[in-house]
Amino acid sequence: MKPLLVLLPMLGWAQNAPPLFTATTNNVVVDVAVTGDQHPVQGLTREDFVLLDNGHAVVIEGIAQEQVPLDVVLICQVPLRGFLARVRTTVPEGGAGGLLPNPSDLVSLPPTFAHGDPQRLMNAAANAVVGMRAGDRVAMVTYGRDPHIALRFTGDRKAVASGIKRLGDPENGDDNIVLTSEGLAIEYAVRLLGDAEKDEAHAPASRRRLIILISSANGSGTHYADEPIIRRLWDRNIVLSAIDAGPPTAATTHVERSTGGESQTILFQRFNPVRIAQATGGNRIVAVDPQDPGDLLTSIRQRYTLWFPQPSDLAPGEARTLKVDLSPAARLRFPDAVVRAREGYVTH
Amino acid sequence: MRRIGTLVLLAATASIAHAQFFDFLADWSATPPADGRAFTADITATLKAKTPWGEISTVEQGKYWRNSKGQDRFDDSYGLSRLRDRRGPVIQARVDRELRLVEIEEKTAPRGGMQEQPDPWNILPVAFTKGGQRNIEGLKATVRTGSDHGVSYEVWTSDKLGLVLYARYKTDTTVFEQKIHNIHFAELDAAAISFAIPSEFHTHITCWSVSDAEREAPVQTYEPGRELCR
Repeated sequence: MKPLLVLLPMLGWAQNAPPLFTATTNNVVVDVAVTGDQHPVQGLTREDFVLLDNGHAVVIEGIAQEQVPLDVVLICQVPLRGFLARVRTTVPEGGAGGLLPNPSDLVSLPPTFAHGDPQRLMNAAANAVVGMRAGDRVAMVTYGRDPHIALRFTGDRKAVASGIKRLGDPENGDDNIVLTSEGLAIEYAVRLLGDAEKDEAHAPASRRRLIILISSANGSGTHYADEPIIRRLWDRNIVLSAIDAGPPTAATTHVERSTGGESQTILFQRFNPVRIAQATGGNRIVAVDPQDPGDLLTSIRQRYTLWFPQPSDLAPGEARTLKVDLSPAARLRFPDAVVRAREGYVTH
Repeated sequence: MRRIGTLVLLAATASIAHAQFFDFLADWSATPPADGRAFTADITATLKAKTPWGEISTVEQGKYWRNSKGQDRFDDSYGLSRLRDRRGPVIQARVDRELRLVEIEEKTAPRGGMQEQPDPWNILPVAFTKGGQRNIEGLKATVRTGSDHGVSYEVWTSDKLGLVLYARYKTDTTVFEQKIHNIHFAELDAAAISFAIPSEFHTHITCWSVSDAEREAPVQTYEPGRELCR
């Protein structure tokens, strides 16, 4: 958490907003999305929220709802050339004594499985940033075996469009993937955002930072320890939204149609980016139609910002949990509202 | 689909590692290892990557326990445990103590004896070749090396323990290493180290059957209890 001495300039950017922020060096900022019936719930006050810091209610010192500009890093898992074909030819007929499935099981899989579909990837990336506005900046990182910076931060929509278009070039695919590359690509994004902050002294508070990770849920196929990544993003107050660009399956379609809860809990356990998105307050999108996801930027831009003083007796570097919900009175008014915010922060 | 995910994992256990820890619990020993002694060990995973910001290096520590009954437990430093029980149908559980969640995978397919198991190293996309034997932590380890489309691997396994002792892969810019060290053979303090799956956590069970034709819709239950897996 950077000192919030820099929050005042943010007010200058906002229009028709009263000066709500108090300059202090020890505030914890929590951006909160409240949606009801797929639309943001407007006009809430700080009395409408309950905020728990490590399980204990805290006094919300302030609230604002400013549509600040965004720094967005698109992370895209590139198509993997021939990956599935290699796996298919390796498994012997009849399976492998229960260790592996029969290759006939693999034949019926969609040809895009595990190696990505460039068109789906481009559609997902383009739609995700369709809400880009003047003042926003977008960068791109791609990864197969290793991450690469595909586009440095730019506010030029044409440059972003060109970067996305290059995802469809087979030459930009890769032959292989290792699981560490996804976490490393996120680290690239964090560092790109850090560089952008250095370029603009007031960036931490005057801009919101978002990573959009587009990958294939089943392409990775196993768990990895996502906690270090989550804490890294908490530390920098970065939201990560996850998009599974793979074709729908029975399981992912079920999750997509659910309202969350149990079904999404299951997916959290199966797909690290979804869990990271939940922990950082991002969107979680699976089983996307060719034209989905819609604009992911506006929902980030329209969030409420709550802040409270960090307890003074804490050592730097401690990870603490956050839980934000509507107050009982507000919940009566918006019984079906979904509240999304990061689930923790790191002390400074 | 998860089975396919498992395939990808297994097909690349030597090629795909966890971001911080190699998934050595998904090793080849569906049957109990030849050496069934209990032991404890430390695990260290290191990732080094050349980046535009210079070399990035991360180190993660974990702890591993195995008892003499055929149960394993691995804990990372973030409250995650992975448990495996090979006494009956192979059960693997991932326990998130922070989120109070448990995901259990139970494999219901009958397991053949060790002699019926194919050599797992022959069914990987990576062509591994044996590179002799080494001693590590006082244990004899078989060294295998291989490469596949820009990724090279080196894996040392203890055949007796059925365990990956050391694993490394390299890409153009990344070197990942994981090693097991400080191995200490001794019966475990059952009161201190539990291999039980917490019953009070939210539990999701997936039952896998090799003969199950519904590959993409495995039998699942959201309640504790394994009737569906029988």
